[in-house]
Amino acid sequence: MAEPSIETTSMEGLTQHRFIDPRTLMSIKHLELRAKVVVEGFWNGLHRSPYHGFSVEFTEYRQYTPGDDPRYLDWKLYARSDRYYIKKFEDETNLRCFLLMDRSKSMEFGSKGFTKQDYANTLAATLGYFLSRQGDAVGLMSFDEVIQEYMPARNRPGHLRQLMQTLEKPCQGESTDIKKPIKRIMDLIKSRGLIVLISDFLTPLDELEDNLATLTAYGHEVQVFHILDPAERHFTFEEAIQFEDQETGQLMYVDPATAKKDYMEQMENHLEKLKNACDKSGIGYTLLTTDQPLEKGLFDFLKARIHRGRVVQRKTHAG
Amino acid sequence: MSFLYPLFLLGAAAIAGPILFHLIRRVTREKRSFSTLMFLKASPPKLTRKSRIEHWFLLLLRCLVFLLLALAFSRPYLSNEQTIQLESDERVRHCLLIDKSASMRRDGLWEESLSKAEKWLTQWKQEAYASVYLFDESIHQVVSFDDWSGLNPDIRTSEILNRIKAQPPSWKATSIDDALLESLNRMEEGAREEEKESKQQAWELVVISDLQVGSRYEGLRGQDWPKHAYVVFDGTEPRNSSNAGLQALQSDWQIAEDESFIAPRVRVSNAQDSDQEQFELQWKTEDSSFETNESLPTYVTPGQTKIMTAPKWPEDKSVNQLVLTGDSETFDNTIWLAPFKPRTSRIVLLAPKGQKQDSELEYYIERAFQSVPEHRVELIQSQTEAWKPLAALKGIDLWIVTRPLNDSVAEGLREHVKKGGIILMPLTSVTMQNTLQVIWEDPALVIEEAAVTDYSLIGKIDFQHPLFAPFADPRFSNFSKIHFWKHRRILNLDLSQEELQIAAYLDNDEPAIITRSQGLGRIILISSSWTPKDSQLALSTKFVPWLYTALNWGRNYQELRTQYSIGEAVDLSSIPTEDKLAIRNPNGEVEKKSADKLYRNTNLPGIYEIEADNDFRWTFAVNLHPDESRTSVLPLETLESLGVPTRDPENAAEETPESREQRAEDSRLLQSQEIEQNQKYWRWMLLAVLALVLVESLVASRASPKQFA
Repeated sequence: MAEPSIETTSMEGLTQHRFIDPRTLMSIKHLELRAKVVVEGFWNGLHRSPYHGFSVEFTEYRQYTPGDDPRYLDWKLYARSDRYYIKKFEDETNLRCFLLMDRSKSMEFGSKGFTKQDYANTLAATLGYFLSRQGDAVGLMSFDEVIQEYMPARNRPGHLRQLMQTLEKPCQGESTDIKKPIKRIMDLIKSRGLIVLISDFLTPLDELEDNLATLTAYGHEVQVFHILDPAERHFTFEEAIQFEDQETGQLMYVDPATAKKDYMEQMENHLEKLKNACDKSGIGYTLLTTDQPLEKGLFDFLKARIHRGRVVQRKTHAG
Repeated sequence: MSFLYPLFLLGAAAIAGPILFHLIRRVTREKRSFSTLMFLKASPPKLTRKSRIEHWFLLLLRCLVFLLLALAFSRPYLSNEQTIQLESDERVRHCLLIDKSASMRRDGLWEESLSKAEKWLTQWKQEAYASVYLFDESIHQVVSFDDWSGLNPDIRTSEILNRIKAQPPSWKATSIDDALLESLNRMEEGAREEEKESKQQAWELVVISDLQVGSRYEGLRGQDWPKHAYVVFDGTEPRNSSNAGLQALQSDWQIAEDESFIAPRVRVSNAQDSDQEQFELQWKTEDSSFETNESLPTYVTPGQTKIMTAPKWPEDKSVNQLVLTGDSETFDNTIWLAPFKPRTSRIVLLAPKGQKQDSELEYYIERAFQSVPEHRVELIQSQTEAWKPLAALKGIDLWIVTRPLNDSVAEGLREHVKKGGIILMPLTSVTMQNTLQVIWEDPALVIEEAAVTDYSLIGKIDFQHPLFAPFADPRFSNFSKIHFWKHRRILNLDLSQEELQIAAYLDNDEPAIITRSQGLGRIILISSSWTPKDSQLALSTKFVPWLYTALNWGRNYQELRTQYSIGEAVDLSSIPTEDKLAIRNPNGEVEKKSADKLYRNTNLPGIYEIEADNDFRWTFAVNLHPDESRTSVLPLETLESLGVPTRDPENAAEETPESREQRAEDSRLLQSQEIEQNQKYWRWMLLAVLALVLVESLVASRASPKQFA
């Protein structure tokens, strides 16, 4: 896998003003263009040799056991140490990345002039564009309570555009059910791959932990993007008014003056629970509020991948 | 600050509304879409603490709006010291008007009036300002405001009643308008002497009258009544509502050619609420000594009038009354009739001798001035060349000169004209030049025959001129068809003379008819003549009326008539005497009067006689005014519609201490209303409310567009 080296670059290294304000970004209608703007900007930010490295990367040595392909014996090491070692490399095949998009009604909420869905779409498009630019295959699965769209992971001309068009379809779902798409993706994706789950996770988290663990157990690499609106995150309302649940249509009179405390507590719990679940399963978790620059998502994504690549893979494949 | 309707102030309690709504956190039907309710709990609506009231300024605005509205509705006014003082010093001026017209002669009406007057006077015993008047055609003072205060209150009522009783109903007509306006004037005059408090006074005019339809009330139209004046009509009820009346029509007689039948035409009217329909007409003498058995039955339905010829006037000329029988109210059932005298006119025609008939001037004059029974025309034709016999003729209304006169006659005529005669002089030929020079007193005048190709027409007529004024109506003003074949021109005529007028021009701009005032008399000059050889004038339908206009022009006085209404002035100036006249009224009283005056004492119905020293005698009859027979009750609404501020006598009468208090209270209220009307603070308050609402809307929309939009 071709991966840019960003170890020497930190978030602090990228000055804040170089990011594009999401609101400005969302005013660009064309999703592909939006993705391009983010990715190109990001490349520019990573001016420290983004194309540096190998396509085939050495990872570890392993003692030769009979039956191993003698082609991978490290003869130089044998000369030095008089022992047979097998040189182990990362899989050379391209990364197969699946974007799991939550398209439930709750994603239609937005207090900043655009919805979480817009933000999520842009994020997905950015990732898709970024990955396909590196030559990786990108697939898409959108879901609400059922799976709506499925595009297998491919990397061929026109695929990215199709992906963008699918992303741009308006969401029709009602509520969120993450279990079903996770189950389904395990059926569909036999080979290991990267699964990026983009959702607001405004759903009970009871079995989510198990499902996520299953995914990682299958060898998939999983990255979770938790998208929240600032208004959801900090409950910035003041006026007492009837609140209507976007998914169920249920009405509730809420006075923010009294309800905010409770809300914030529960929200923190929810976030905590989700983060724990991800951590336990070795899943990368990024919380993004829609007022944060998209580059941060991309940055976190890459950072987490490198980090996890070292920690988790070594954990699972060592040996 | 006082309030006209303080109860409306309770409306100010409505400011509790905005305060409460500001305290209650709004439970609106507005919804906010939110992604999930899973972390939310429903909050119950609740009152916030006082310190939590938001938008203090808005609350203040809203409270002010309600407060101002309540204030505006309660109609505030500022009562200054003056008004307060006047409230305690409120005075009522009273004026009692009692009808004494002829219709009050009906059975029991006058007695009722007296008792009503007594009631009012007793009621006003303690009042400081009151006056009493009687009225018929005019107003007669019984007690003025000054007299009232001068009279001892204990004997005042009886004293005034005695004065009223001394003036029983007359025969005159009723003029309610004059009575009301005149008494109002007198009240105003009286009030002016007072201080300026008059505005705060109440003026009460009490009218005791039978309020008959025949009263004159048109004068009240457009009258601007003072706000503090009101009229109480205390109507008297006749015991008998039936009434029929008899009136003679002015100089309308039915006369046979040979005068074998002479009878006046009369009008019989029957009141609306009458219950009689059958009547009879009969001649009587004054002392009822003559009474024919002949009577003319007639049938008039209630509310109708009928014009009919009376029975034949009896041979006995002392019979001068025509009586309508069958009616219970007799005051208007008799008319007096003076013997019929036709009008007479004397015309002298100075025409040449032996003219051929059918073509000459006299022929047409004779036919134009025909005698009829109503109008006797005496046409005197004279060929005399001496003035003396002509000067002996008396009472000549018109001189027509159609021939050249010798100088003595012309001069005599000229001097006669200066005393008031009228000469009509067609210029028949240029031979008239000398006569014209003498009469016109201008020897320079020359008459010459005008050169006319074909004919001339009348080009311009001065319809302002008395000779043509009767023809001014477009229906009669067409003189354009009269052709003038020949006419004469008068040279050297000084047109700038003030007394000279050109009544008509021909179409070649030469004068056709010239008139000139000379002393008291007038000369009418026609530049052509009416003979067919000169013009078509005599053939025109305008000719005879025009001649009569010329005849009447000289009479600048009203002729004596044989019929007058009560109160009507008789013009004595037409009587040909310079001495004093003696006029005898129906009671036999004789009044000496000079001839150029008006005789106004026609207060009694009956026959009046005028005698002058030169054997002149004239008899005329004076009868009731026809309107007095219209005795149906005039609806008060008619007067109210003319703007008379009326008040119910029941409310005004019988004043007890309680009602006095009530009235004082009412008048205070009235006064307050008036002050409030003048100040009208409520308008400003409403304006302020509008402004506040505007500001409130602006502030609310800015404060929180979502919350208050």
